[in-house]
Amino acid sequence: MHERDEQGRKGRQGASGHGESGRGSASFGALLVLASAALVAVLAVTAVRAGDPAPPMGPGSPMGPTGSDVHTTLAPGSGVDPMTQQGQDHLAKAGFGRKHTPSELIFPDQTIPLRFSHAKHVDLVKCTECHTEIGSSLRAKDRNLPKEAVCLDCHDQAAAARGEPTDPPASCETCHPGFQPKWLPGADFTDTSKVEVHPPAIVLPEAHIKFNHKTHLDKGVGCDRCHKSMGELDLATRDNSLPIMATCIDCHDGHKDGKSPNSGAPDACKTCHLTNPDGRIDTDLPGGKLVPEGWYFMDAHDDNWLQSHRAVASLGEGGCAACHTQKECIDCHNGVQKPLKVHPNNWILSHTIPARRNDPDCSSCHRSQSFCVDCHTATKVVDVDGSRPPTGKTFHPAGWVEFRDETGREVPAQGIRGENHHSFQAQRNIRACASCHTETSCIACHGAAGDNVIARTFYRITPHPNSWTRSGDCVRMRNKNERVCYKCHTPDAQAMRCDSL
Amino acid sequence: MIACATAPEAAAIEFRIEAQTRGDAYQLVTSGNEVLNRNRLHQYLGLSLYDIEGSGESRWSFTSMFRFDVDFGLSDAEIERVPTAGRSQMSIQYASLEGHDLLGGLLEVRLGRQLLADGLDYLMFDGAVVTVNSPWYLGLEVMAGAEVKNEMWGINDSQLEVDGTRYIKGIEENGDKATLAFGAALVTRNLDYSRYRLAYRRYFSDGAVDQEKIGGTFHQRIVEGVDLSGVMTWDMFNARFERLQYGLRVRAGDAHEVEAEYVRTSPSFDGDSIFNIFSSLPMNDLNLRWRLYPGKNDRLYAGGKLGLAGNEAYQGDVLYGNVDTMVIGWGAMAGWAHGFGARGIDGRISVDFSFDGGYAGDRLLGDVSGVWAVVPREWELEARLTALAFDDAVQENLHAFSFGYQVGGRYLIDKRAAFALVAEHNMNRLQTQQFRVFALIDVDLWL
Repeated sequence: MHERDEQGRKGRQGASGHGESGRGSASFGALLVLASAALVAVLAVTAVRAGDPAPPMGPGSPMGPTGSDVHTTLAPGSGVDPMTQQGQDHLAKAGFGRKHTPSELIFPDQTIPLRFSHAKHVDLVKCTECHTEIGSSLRAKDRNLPKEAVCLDCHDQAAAARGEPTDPPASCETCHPGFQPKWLPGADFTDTSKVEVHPPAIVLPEAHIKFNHKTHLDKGVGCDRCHKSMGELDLATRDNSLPIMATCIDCHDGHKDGKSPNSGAPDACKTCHLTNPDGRIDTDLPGGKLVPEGWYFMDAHDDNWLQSHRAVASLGEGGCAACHTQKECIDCHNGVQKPLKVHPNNWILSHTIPARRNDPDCSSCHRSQSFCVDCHTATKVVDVDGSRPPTGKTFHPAGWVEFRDETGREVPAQGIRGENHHSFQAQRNIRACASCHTETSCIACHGAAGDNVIARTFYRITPHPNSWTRSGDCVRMRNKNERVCYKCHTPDAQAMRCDSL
Repeated sequence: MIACATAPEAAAIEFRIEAQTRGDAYQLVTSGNEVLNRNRLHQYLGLSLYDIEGSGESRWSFTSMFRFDVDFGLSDAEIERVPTAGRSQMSIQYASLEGHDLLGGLLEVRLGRQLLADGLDYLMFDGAVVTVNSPWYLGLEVMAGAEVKNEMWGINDSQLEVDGTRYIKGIEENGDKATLAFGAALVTRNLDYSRYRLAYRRYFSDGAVDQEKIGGTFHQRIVEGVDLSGVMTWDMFNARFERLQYGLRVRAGDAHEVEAEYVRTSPSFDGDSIFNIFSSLPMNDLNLRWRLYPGKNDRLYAGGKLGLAGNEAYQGDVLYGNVDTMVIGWGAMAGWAHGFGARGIDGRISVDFSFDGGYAGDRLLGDVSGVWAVVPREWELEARLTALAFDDAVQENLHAFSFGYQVGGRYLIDKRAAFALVAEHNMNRLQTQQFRVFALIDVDLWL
């Protein structure tokens, strides 16, 4: 069929003096083959890379800490220490693809210029022995890191500074990688503030979320429910130790009979997310726009979201309203002016092909009879008052309404419809017709009313399918709304009985 | 407003004022090579009040949005030619009083002009939506009201009117009569990874049905990384599916994602429209898209699509055709997006290519766009280049190579105000030079 379409188009274009017909089809085939080959190659390469085992991060692993000395913890060949941020960054980047890690918008980038291994500590001390203030922390912005004095309870830094052996190791460099203190005159090494230059400070920006450690601890939620596998971690960073949303919604599921022992915690977005005064999530965070990435729901706001959001939005259960107002829907769906990103440049000139294919679905934002007709009339695409456009050009190709017999002679209302016949276009997408024509255009030929001489005596072309009366469509539609019947039929017409056609 | 007046603690009320001024100017060339100027101005004004009255978790709020449109480019002759066009128009886009979490979360209400969007359709109406949430994972939503129609009394401007009939004063008899709508929906609540909605809606005027639909929408996570969604709309007036849509999204590891979609549509029109009567065959579209995420800030995609549209095949004594019963359209697309800085806050660049062929014509598009945050969250510059070759299969002489670009920028003031300006310039054989300028001033204040 397509070949025939192509031939028809070539013929038309040849007649109009343009020899560009069919271009792109042959080359497109070759392009498809090349693209497919490239796609397979890329998939194969990335699958192999993605399938590579991730570098182990725990103790005893080739890259994990093998001893208590600074110089023995470097991963072979990597030159990085997994107890440091550099080491963790290196490990994080070693894999291929995007990791489902905590959002950097919720937890902005942190700087932790320390050398520390949770794995070495969690079996020796309780979490609250170091994080002493965690039980009274009410807000996510609280900085619940242990103070240096807590570390020095075990790490006898003063002794190390005096050159005495210590266990555990306690030199400044043990925790502050590369830091060599220059003590102020008279310093006795017990007060670490008495140095000329201090080691780099920890930077923990405020988290953009609501969280109350006290409430959770009081309810018996253990640390490891949210901060998982700390016993296997060296330096704890945002990516390896802070919770992702799935951890929260294990308990914050809104119903008591969930799989988690703490199920039934409130599941409203505002329970955890910062909100605007109207209750919507504040998505405009300092690090950028907070948008779903599709980890939990088919709502990733990605390259195809403008076209694909229909399925999610049509659930109509308030998911979109958690972040968006009606204004944002109306801007596109009832907008007189669309955001420019919706369509590519020069859309007005080139929209005919997508519109005929209804891809994207025009009716999502434009109704044929209340939008398209206006514009097509103003630009004289539509015949006005029966007149042709000024240049005499016709919008439709030859063969649009004619019927021909076997010899090619035009015959009225019967015979062969050519491939350009409007009936085929109408059957494929009648919305395209309705973007220029009102019902009066159709009735002129298809109407069966008594005063429609042309239709009655010349064309007599019924628009109804063959099975119209037998299928019950006639009775059903007449019973639901007979007004539409009267546009073509008189009330006393036999056709109104739906027993024959 | 009444609720506002009776609010016991006025100090708790949050006021929001949104004002958005949009202007654009561009040119259109008619088939007769006339140049038509479009110089339009649209002014939005939103007034909202939150926490008007609240006790415990329940909240009442009022939101409204007005719009004033002016077209300075239309001549008198053009206005005469386009019956529904005018130089200026005022409209209420929405204005509703909303109650949330009433009666301990049992009830939610929305009264007034509002937009309803679900699997059945978009509906702008004046009326009420009441939702009753049960403790058993189900909610019942009931709606009733009058469709907003442009020619009815009031300050209306809706592009969401049920399609098919075009109101022309003195000719059409029903365009200015009220269309009432009522409906109900069962919706799931509080299910972790399952969301379902079953809805029914009926529109009628003067006792006759204008539209009647029933449909379902769902999302279901099969296992982690595999999600299924669907939209099914049965048109009870025409007794056919208006829309069937199924989507599958599979995440394979950290780097790959595949999205597949099938959409089958048969358009429905107002029951008063004879467009319903003509035999039409559904359009079927298959879309497949693969995404590759090399890292957090990069995304590549490639995909293809196939469209199948039918012709009637019957061999009656009046009509028969000489073409096959199925026509095919196809397409392919690929692209790459890269963000600079965390989450692309410093800028991003996108490259997209697509090709459409077969039914309706050929269309090859290349598009490169970028945004650069000169001062993050304050000054942004954007640019876009588009090259497009197209050849319409139906219209003679409608083929061209078009090259266009956009340049623009945006200035943000403390999340409360923004100013944006974008200019577009296109060049091609049919419209040698075409310009468009778009400007926006956006103010959003909480008082």
